[in-house]
Amino acid sequence: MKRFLAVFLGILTAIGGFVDIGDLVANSQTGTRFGMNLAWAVVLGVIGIIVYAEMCGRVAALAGRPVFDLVRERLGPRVGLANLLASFFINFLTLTAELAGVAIALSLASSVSYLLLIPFVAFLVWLVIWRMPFETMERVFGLLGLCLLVFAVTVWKVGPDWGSLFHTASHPQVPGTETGFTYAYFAIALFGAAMTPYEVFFFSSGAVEERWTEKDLATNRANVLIGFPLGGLLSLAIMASADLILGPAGIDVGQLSQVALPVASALGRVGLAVVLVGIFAATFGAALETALSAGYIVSQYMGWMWGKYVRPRQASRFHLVVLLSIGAAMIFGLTRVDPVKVTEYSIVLSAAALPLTYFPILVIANDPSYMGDKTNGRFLNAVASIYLVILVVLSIVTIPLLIITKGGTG
Amino acid sequence: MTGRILYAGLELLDHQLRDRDGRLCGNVDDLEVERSPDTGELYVTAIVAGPGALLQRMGRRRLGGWIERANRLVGDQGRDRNIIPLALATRIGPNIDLAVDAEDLATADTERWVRDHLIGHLPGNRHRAPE
Amino acid sequence: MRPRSMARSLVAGCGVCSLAGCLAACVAHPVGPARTYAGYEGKAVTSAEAAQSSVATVQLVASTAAAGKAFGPYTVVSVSEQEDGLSAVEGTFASIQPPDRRADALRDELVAILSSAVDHVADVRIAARRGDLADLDRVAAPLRADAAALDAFVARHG
Repeated sequence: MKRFLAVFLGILTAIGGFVDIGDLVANSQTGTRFGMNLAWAVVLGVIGIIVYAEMCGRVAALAGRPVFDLVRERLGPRVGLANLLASFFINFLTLTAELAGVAIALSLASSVSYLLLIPFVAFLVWLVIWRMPFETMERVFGLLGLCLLVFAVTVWKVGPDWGSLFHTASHPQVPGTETGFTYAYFAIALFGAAMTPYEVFFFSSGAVEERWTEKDLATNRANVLIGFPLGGLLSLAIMASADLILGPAGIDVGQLSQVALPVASALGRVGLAVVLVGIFAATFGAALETALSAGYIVSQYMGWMWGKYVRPRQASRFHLVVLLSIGAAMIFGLTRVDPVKVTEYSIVLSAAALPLTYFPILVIANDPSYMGDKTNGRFLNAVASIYLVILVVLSIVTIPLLIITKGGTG
Repeated sequence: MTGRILYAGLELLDHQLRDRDGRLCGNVDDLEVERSPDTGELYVTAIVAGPGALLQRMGRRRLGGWIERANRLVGDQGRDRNIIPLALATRIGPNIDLAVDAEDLATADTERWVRDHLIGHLPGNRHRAPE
Repeated sequence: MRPRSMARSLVAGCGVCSLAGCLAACVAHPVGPARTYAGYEGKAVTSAEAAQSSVATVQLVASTAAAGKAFGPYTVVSVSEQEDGLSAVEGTFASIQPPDRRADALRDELVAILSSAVDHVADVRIAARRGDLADLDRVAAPLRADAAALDAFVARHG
């Protein structure tokens, strides 16, 4: 019974922790502009992150090493450094976006300007990292993130024509108001929002933090195989809410407040309160993960002691990197940079940079000297290889598409 | 001289170093290699790990040199502690275990500095991590 | 190792360019001048479409709040955000140099519509700040005319 409860909690945490500001923004924007015509991109992204996270978890449990640790070892210091710089930069953008997201969620509940709240949020994020135990952190914000299920309730309340909804999702086409380029661009954005690299850095480092062993592999698989698809359904609920309520009104999503609007419209004040709690939890949790990831990837490349599982003074450089990253993201956020724009860029660039982190994991997961006899099976390798091709293609087309569509606006 | 035959690039370089207590203490940034006078074979004699070593290996000699000198300002000892004789390596595998304390290595200098001047001043820095 | 160093420079170049491009694009939204009437018309339509979204958002927020489905701070912040966005659209469009006399007429027409929309949204914001949520539907009523004007503009020039 206790085991079942632990697994159940793990799945719930995975669902609640799946969505971050990238998913909120990307799914809403796509919902209003494309309806459900890009639902397949979310499905594709979810399958991708399942494959990716399962391998990372297995590598962490069996080799005791997280992703980035192995990047330098397997790809060499030069490629590893390029990887580090790219990942760190994208991570920095994501952290800025998440901090802003938390601040905006608070401002929507208090009407204090979100800019004034950013320093407070930054401090809070740092404090939680500094003091809250790792597992508690994950649990609390993961479970609170389940409040976002209110989007599913919204869709149900609106009572759409399910038949036509499914039909559009399964027979995707480019809407007349959009071009093939914007369609492709938003498909990449959705994909990048589902397969964010920081999730993998955090996930694999977290597995080492929590001292996963072979016994934990089954739990890992349950979390990943059940939790992530349900998280993906949550993303689709956000898309559908936007499609059903904002789309017909001709509203384009450019602010986080608009993301919550369908819930208010359908469910009233209670729904609005719940969704704001959910947005707060999702973005706060993601801010924690991104800030820690900044510390993880630098420390792991350099070989420094890292992690929350030792006393802070025993991993001083790690904690310094985390602190400085939060500080820098706070400053960037305070320059009045558009949080939604930063979010868009971070998810699109995440998609473009995926091969950098994905490829080493694929290599290691097949290496018996790290994995013993639990290397990838043939089916998994087939799927994983297909994804590698997809990711490389994405890498190549993303920046051109970014320019052609002028960041999705064209 | 006898020794194991390894692919040094694959099995030594850039691997994680751990000290005698299992603490992480850097990566293998470079290797010191000697040619045996009798057989002409190459022997790895030492691991090089520390500030600036990686940069020097990657060709940025001057930048690496600066960082090494800057590190000497931070650390107290003046001697060159980047070089770890291979005899101190007790186990060579995915991680390379060393029979030394992390504190004695060059890479610990900046860690100590950050700890003593920055992180160590924050309340809760000795907070024990829960099991 | 010429090919390798070339590849390295290429990758480094791409990295620096995308880094600079992203940061720049994130912080400012530069709008270039329009040299032809068609180009100017295109920018006008883009501005009008952005304004349509803002006006529609304010209308939906107002009706949601008036129905008691949204609380004060959310309403105030949402409307303020759209007001800022609309003002920015108006300001950006007004600052573009019209290329010829024909464009002048276009400019006057759109600036008038945008101006009116900004005023009406400001009214909604003021009422929301005062806490008159139940009344917001009535205060937002003039936005219907603004929305219709924007729709007509886009239909004519888009």
